[in-house]
Parts: sequence; structure tokens; C-alpha cells
Amino acid sequence: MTIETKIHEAGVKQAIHLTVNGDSYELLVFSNDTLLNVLRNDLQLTGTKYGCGTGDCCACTVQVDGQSMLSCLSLASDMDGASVITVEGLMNGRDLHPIQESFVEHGAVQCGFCTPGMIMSIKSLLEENPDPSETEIRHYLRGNLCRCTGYRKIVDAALSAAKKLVEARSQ
Amino acid sequence: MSTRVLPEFTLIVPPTLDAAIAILGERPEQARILAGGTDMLVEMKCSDRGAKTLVKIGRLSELNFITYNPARGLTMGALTTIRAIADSPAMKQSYSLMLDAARDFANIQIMNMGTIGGNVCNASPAGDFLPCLLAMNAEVVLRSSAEPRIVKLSEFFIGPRKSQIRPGEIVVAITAPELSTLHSSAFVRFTRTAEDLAKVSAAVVLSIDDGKFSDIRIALGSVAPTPIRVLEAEDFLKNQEVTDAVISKAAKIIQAAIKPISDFRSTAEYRTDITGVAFKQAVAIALARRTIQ
Amino acid sequence: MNNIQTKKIKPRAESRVSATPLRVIGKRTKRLDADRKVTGLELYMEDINPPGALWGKILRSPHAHARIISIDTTEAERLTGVKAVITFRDILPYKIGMPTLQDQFALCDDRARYSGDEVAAVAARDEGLAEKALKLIKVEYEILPFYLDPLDAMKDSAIPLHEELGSNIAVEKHLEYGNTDKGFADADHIFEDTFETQRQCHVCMEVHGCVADWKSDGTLSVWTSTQSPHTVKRYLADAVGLPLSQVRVNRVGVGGAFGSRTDLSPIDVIASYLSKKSGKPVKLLLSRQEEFYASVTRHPSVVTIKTGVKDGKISTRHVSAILNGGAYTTQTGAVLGSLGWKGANYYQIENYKFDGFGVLTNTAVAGAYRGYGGPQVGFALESQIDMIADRLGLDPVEFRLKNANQTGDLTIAGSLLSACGLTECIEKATESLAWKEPKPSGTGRGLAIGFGESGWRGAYYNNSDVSVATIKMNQDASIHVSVGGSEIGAGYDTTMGQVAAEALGLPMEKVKIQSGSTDEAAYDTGMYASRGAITSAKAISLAATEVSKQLCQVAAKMMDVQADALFIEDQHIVSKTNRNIFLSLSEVAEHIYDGLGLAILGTGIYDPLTHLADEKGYHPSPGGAIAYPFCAVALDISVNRETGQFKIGKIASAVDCGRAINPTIAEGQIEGDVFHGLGLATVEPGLLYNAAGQPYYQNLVDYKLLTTVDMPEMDSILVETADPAGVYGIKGITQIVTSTVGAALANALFDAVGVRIKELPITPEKILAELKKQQTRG
Repeated sequence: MTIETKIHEAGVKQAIHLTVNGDSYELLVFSNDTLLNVLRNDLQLTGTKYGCGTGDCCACTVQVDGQSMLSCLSLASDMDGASVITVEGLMNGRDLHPIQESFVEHGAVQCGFCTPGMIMSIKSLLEENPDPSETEIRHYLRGNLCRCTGYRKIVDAALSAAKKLVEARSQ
Repeated sequence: MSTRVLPEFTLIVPPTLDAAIAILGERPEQARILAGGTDMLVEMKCSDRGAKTLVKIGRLSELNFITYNPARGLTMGALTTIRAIADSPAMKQSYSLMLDAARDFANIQIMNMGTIGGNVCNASPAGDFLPCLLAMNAEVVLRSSAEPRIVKLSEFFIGPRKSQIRPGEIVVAITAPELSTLHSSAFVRFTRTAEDLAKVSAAVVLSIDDGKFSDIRIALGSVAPTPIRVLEAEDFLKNQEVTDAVISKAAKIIQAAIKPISDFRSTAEYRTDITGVAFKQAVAIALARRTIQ
Repeated sequence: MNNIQTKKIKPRAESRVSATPLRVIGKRTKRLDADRKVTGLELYMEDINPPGALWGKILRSPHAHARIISIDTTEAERLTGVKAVITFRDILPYKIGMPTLQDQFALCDDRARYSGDEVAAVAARDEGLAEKALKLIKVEYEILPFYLDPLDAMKDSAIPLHEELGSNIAVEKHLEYGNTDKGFADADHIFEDTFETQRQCHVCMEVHGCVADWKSDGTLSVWTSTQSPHTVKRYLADAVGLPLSQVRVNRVGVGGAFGSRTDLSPIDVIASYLSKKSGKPVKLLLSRQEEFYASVTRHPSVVTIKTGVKDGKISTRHVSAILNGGAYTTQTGAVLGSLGWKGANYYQIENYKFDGFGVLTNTAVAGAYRGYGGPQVGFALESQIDMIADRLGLDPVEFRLKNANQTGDLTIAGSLLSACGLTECIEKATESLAWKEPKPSGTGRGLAIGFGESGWRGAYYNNSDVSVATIKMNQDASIHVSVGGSEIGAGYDTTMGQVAAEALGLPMEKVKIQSGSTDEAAYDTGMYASRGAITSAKAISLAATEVSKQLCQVAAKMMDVQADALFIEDQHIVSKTNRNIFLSLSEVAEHIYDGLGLAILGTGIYDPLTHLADEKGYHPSPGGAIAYPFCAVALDISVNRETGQFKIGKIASAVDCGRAINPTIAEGQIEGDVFHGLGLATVEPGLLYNAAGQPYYQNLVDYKLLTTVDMPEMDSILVETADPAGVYGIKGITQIVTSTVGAALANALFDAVGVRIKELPITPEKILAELKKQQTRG
């Protein structure tokens, strides 16, 4: 445990240690860099999207230490030592993650811009609640906005992904 | 202003509460406390009001706790997340209204990030927890390099987004007295969509003895510059029989006591109308909960 | 092809068994772009990072209407890291907009016409720095009177926003079919009602922007998420003064469009000039805040409808409309025309008149938005149908069926309905809601129908509605299909791939679609008016016919039969007379390349004018579509009389799609249509301005979209009528349900509690106010 006060001066880059999708990085960031911008600009992980910047659309959702968070309202400088999962970290080799697979199968993708955030939210949901009802899915996803689909096929995909993951675990 | 980037600031991350207090004491005017960031970073992106120095306390585990015991009541560390409140057995057991507010709060991501201390400090007239805490007779525990202060929540808010916090002070905890097993509570809000700020909200804490209201506390959100208690209605209800007519009369008293505004979320007239409904619904839910107990 | 060497093919033991008539069309094929999108690998504008790219930012007018006296950019230019600052002086005086009325400079000349108007722009090392630089630009304004309401802007005393127009009525449209004076004189009953709809923001999840790279060799390459790559290229070339050959619009992911990305945007022009001046690529993306007040919106409307009923049928209609076009005309004339024209086509009527006014105000620019005049006129028309039925004591469903168009009908506006499944749509939608079952009190059901266009002649260039496709077949019979539309999320690449696969008897795995890039993809006017499914599909089918001809000619020699005795099926060329005689496509293709030293290339150019000219009377209406989709939307609601809150149980949308290329994609379009329509009808608050003419909304807290929790159960029903106007019977459907939801909701509300709301959005506030009036009336 550090016992010293950490001071990160404005306009100066400081090093942080970040684990992203299992890979370890030493990064130099400004005190006012958001996690979203560091992922997108420094690590070229552009799957995580800027939709509003104010926490109202959830297109920038990532997992930080296992929890669903908004990368647009997270300070990279304060993330020293954290482990982040983004949509790019879901595939297993060349295989899609079951949630991604369900999105493809159920036509849950249209323009695709909200898709990474949606998928990351569903990942957290299914980790917390492996067998959610449709009502629970809808309640959990209430912050993730989509302008294309009316959500129906996204909810279908989440239900189907839950089934797939439960089956995979029971095998 | 772009919401892609934040203005520049110096970020100070103290390892302990004492260190945080010391830092604030050194520069009380320039430094602002950053907890979950879900309100402050938005404000900094959207306005020129940003501070030059942010003291990030979000990871101080000493402020992240919920304790409850029937004798001493509830204490929530300022950094208790909304998610932790939603998942808390103590809330489920004794403060159902807090659970009502937490369950539908903003979205899951904000619930994971946002803190109760932040919600209180933000002092929004539409903040969902504020009517709940008012109805719970909550108090705010403040620390600074001077003596700790305890401020009643009913005296804490002085205007929209304005509170009694003095420069150099940190909200460290929110406390509320115990509620007896005779007490029950509920929180109801009206919104445009499932993720929205409240058009109006109502929180009630009540207890019934011998078919009469032995205790009743009513607090409202989004109907005044700050969240408010409606003491007239509480006084009216005390020792009254629990009947629909009495509750409706109380709703009328509430409606007469408020002066909400029209904005793009709703109209003053509608807010007045449904504040009565929100109150009645909250009472009905609280009464039903009491029966279940 | 005289040098073809004949290769005799013996009949084989196996026989090619004829498959179902359609093998790929109608299948729930996996989307071609799905994998890229679920893995986060699709590249949208903000993900494009040319080396050395700068960030661009636009300085916008804070004032609703002001004369620009002076702009001083000196200090901004001095800031380290700022590489270019531009104002009107740096750009060609070229006005953008629809060709009918081009009235917008990319950067204001001496006048800012709305709070958000583009005044200057900077390119700097990063976005934060660009923001700082904007604050250093000094602009001296002289405040002018401003108009937020078209009725104020229309007054003679109002200062014209554009002096050259002389008035703020930018466009008028007047139509008359039949004789409405006589029609009203002869009518048994006449009804007149006025309806209003609010401004709706597109709220694409991806904000608008442009990445521009003006290279030192004089070429300009842009990544701009657009519905119309070729149209953007054409106008951008004009705007920056380059030959078309030097301007390239690249393929890029499009994060939602809904009409908002139909035109060349000032952003495209500004980013290009910033790149020219700085000598670096420039990335210019709006913030979500700018997106609300400074990108296009739906036109707010006031629509009055006068309807004459004779012998229980609608005989005569007069529709008047005022559209608020915002500060620049852009699409206002076309939306207004479309609104008026649509109104004539909903039902079989005898006389129709339209008087429309497109008015400029000092507000955000109104442009194309899903439905294109349909939501405004549809809400009015279909609300009034129920009002008339109620006043005359008729059943609203029966009343609609009695007046409904049928296949083969010619509407009063001259649209020949080569297929019309309206009656079936009404039946299916009402069945889905168990319409005939008794309903609990406090609940109601509502129905509305919708009419729309697929394909639209002359949106941009006189009568042109042209789509081009080329198909290259490789040695293994796989194909590259080049088409000029863009994948804006609606499934263009996939459905066009299905059409090509169907036409050439190929599986989807053998089809590669190239779209969205002007240099690699064939010409197309753009993705608007639900036209891809009809015009691009036709072009592909024509190109495939050419490819098929080339294959059959060679195969005929190889098989020693007549070319016209062959057909292509399931990757083979088969003899019509003897199914045991066949060659695989790859055998033939390989022979063409390797044996004959030739190549396989087909081109299809489709334009309805050239292709339908000999079909007399097909499209006599001015402008006019190629095919006409219809729909019926039925929904049920329960209403809380104490709060005015309502809950929609289920929305059933039955849509005559001709034929669904891909049912999953078609359903997705319907469900998205419901989302936009229901948002307009309920929670999307319009764009409201304060007393200074500045917009309130700058975020998604104030401007609400419906969430997962708010959306009701949806039943999306595809009614297939095999429209002969489209190849394989296909027609585009991606807008009509949006136009229909509002009236269905208003009608359901009336059915439930007897309250009629004539102004969208329908909110608990309005309902409760009406319920209170009802009570006082007793």
C-alpha cells in the first residue's frame, strides 16, 4: 500500500500501470486524460466509443476490475494498477465470445456504434446474474442507448447468450 | 465545450482521509473533492466552473462502508456506491426507501461509480436519495482540519446545487437514526423514461400505532430549489386514522405547500398534481410493506 | 467470342434437381458487417487516424441572429500548436444545399442565422488546444431581431434571413388533383382539424464529423459517414473547387444516419479547408452537445386537414402545412413536397389539394429525417380518420378498409400501385392485437396506416434516381460486387449481397460487396427514400444478367448447346431441356480466364426513367417513387387517469415489403422505425429555445431517448406482395412505420379515455390536463 500522497500536476505526463485485456502496459498519461481517450488514442483500442461524454449513453462501457464502468468519466491517472476489459478482449483466439456470437445470430447489430458498449454491459450482467429474465436484462441495460434497433433483438441476443454460457459451464 | 476532453487540472490522490483533509486545509479555495466523478467530471466537461485542483478520494476504503445496528442506526461512508446501497442487506431490512431509489438510479454503470456522498454534495433538487435521506432524518458528517461538524440534512441544502459545505470540508459519512420495526418506508418518483431525472419524487417514512399515524415524515424532490420536508402535512397526519380520506387530505396539503416550476421535463401544474399522487403511492407502498412485516 | 473452343459435355448420371425458386432471398443470412461490429473492429470516423492528423473545431455563433462585423483570429493563430484558423475569407463563396435552393455557406459570410451557425474554425495539435484557440477568436456581432416561430418569421415585417430570398417563406408547394371546390360542395360531411408535430433530433449514436486529408498533390480524401458518398463527393468538389477526379470519399463505418447524413455537410467543407490550410489531415468531430443544436433535425410542423366525406367514403381532402425549416433551406422544399404528395396517396380519394409553406427561422437547420414528411402528415391524416369515424359513428378499422388502396389502383396523385398489401397489413396488425376481443376498461387500442416511397426520382439531379452496379466474377466463380450506396446500418451490404448471390446462383460466402467508397464503388445517388432495396437491387440484377450471359455463351459452346437453352442454378449452368447436362460455374469461369484469355465483368445501370419510359402511365406523378410500401400499426395502451401516464402493451407493425430480402434485417428496420416513431410520439421533447434564441438541450439528460425498459413488446409482421416494380418483388420499407406510430398512439389514447391529443409529443402532462377538462365538463 502506498502511503504517500500522489500528486499529478496539470500538463505533465505521469506513468501508470494498466492491464488491458490481459496485457500489461506502462503508460504516460495526463491528469485529465479519460480512460476512454487513453484506450482509443494511446492503445488504439477504438472499439470503445465516445457517444456523449457525460455518462448518458453508455457506448463507452468497459469493465474495470470486473465492474461495468463508463470510461468517458474515468480518469486514467487514477487507474494505476487497474485491470480493464474492452470489447477487443472478448474473443478467444479466432472465436467470437458467446455474447458476440448471439449478437450476430439475432440480428442485434445495425449501425454497430452502440454494440461494443452493449456487449460489455451484457457481459457484466451475465457475470452477476447468469440466468436473467427479460425484465432483468432490460432493467440492467437501461443506460445503454441504441438508436437503430428498438432493443428487441439486443434483448433476444442477451437471452440467447445467457443460455449459451450456462450450457458451456454445465459441460 | 467538448465532452471528449477534460480541462486541465492537478490531480491529488491522498492515501488516507487525514491526508485528504490536510491537503484541503492547505488550499481550501482551489481544491475540490472528486469522489465517483459522475457529476463533477460532467460539470467540468460542460462548463467553465472546473477547479484547478481535484482531490480524488474515490479509492479511500475507510469511507466506503455501510454499518447498521438497530440501536445506533445507519452510517454510510461517503464513498458508498449507489450499487452498494442497492445490494445492501441493511437497506433491505430497514430502509426500503433507499432501495427504491437505488434500484432505478440512473444506470448500472453510474450506480457502480457514483457515491452517496457525491449525491449529497451535488445538492441537486432532483437527486433521488435526498428526499429519502430527509425523511430518514439523516445527518451529514463533515471533517476538516478544524473540529468535525454534524449538519442535519434538513439544514444542509441552501439552494440548487448549493450546500452548507465550507471550504476545506469533506463529507465523510451520512448517518440516519434507527427505524423501529414498526416503521416502514417507500420512495416513488415520476420520470419521462426509465433513465431520467425525476419530474417529482416523494419519500415517506411512517409508523402506525393503533390504526393511527404515530410517526410520519414526508420529503419531496424536484418541487422546490432544494429537496424539502412537508411539515404541515406531517403535523396534520400525526395521530390521524389511516384512511384514504385522511391520506387524500394530506396530499392536498402537500400540493398547496409546494410551488414547483415548469421546465422541459414537466409543467408546474402537472408537478403539483402528481406530487399528491407520488405521496399517496409512497404511503400505499409503505403501508403494504408494513403489513408484510 | 469466335475463338471459343468447344468442349463437348456428356450427360451425367446425376441430375441437377431444381431447388425452391428463391434460395438466398428470404433467408436470415448473417450480416456481412456483423463480425466487424461485435468485435469492435469496424472503423468509424473517430477511429480513422491518418498520421499527423490535427483536431478541428468550429466556432459557432452564440446568437440566434446577428451581423458579423469583424472576426479577429490573430491571437488564436499565435497559440503554439494551432496550425490553421479559417473564416469565410478562406473558402470559396460556394453555397451548399439541395440544388433547388442552395443558400448556406460552410462558414458564415456577414451573417449568423442561428445559435450554432458556423463562424470560424481551427485545426490544432489536439482537441483541448483547439478548444483553447476557439476562445481566442474575437468576433464582433451586431444583434438582429430573430424568429423562432415560423408564424413570426412569415410576417411581412420580418427581416428576411436571406436577403436574396426577399421573404422567410423559402419554398411554397401547391398541388391540386381533381376539383376540391366541387368535392367539398358535394360532400355529405366536412371535417377540419389542425395538428402539430415537434422538432425531433436524429441522435445518431455516432456524432457527425469528417476526417479530411488534402494532400500536397492536390487530391482531397475524406472519411465522412454519409448516406450518399457520390453526392457528397460531387458537391464537395464544387465547394472546394477541385475536379471530381481529385476528390475521394472513403468507406467508413456509419454510426446511424436516419436521413441526417444525406447531404454534404458544412463540416465536410470546413474540415477540407482546414486540411488545405494546415497541410495536414484534419479530424473534425462534433461533441454530443453540438450534435443537438448544430446538426440537422426533423421539421416541426403545423398541418391542417380538411376532409370531405361522401357516401361513407373520403372523397376530398385539402392539406395545408407549415414546416419550420430552420436557418437554411437544405431539404425543406423536398420534405414539403413529399409531405404534400404523400397525403394524396394514403387512400382512394377523388380530389386533393395541398398548400405548403417552408419557412426559415433562426433555429437549427431542419433536413431529411426518416419518414421525410410522413410523420407530420401521417399523424394528422390518421388521427383525423379516427376522429371522423367517431363523429360519424363508424368503425375506424372498417372505415379504413372501405377507403383502402388495392393492388393495381392508381392514386389521385398518379401513383400506380403495382402491389398494395394494405388490407392484409390492417388485418394482420389488428389480429396481432386480438382486436376483436373485449378490452379491459382504462385500456384502448389504436390503428393507423402508413404510406411511403421506395426510390425517389429527382431528389438531387433533375430526374435522376440512378444506381450502378458492377460484378466481377473470379476464376472460382466467386464475385466482387461494386455498388454505390453505403452501409448505414440498415443492412445494405448484406441484402445487396443476397440479391447478387440469388441472381448468380451463388452462396453468400462467394460474394464480396464493395460499397461506400467513391473510387472503388460504382456510382449511386445515395441511400435515401428507401431506395437501395429497389434501385441498387435492380442494378445488381442487371449486372448479374450480363455476367450470366457471358457465362452462358461460353458454356453453350463448351456444352454444344444454344446459350438460351441454359440457366444458372446453385453454382452450375444447367441445360433447360436435360438437367443431366451441366457445368459448374467455376469450370466455365476458369475456362473464360485461362482458356480464352478473357475476363468476366457485368455492369448494370438502373434508372427508373430510362427503364420505365415505355411503361405508359407508370409514374405520371411529378417526382414519384418506383414502388410504394404500405403498413398498418396497431397498439394497445392502458392509461392511469390519476397521473395521465400510459403504458403501451404491444405494438404490431405489419409492413408490405414486397418481399423481404432478409427477414431479420427487415424486422430490425421495422423495430427501429417503431423506436423513432414512438420517441417522436412520446418522450423526445423537440428542440426548445430560451428567450435569447439559444437552445436548451445539450445532452441526453434533457433530450430523452426511450430505453430498453420503456420499449413495449413489438410484433413485426412482414406482408409479402411480390411487387413487380422491384426485382424479386422487393421494395424498400425503412421509414413508414415511423410515420405511423404517432397516430396509432393518439387513436389508442382516445379509445382508452376519450382524450384526443393533436400535438406531439403525447405526454402525461397533456393527457392529465385533458382528463381534468373532461371532469369539469362532467
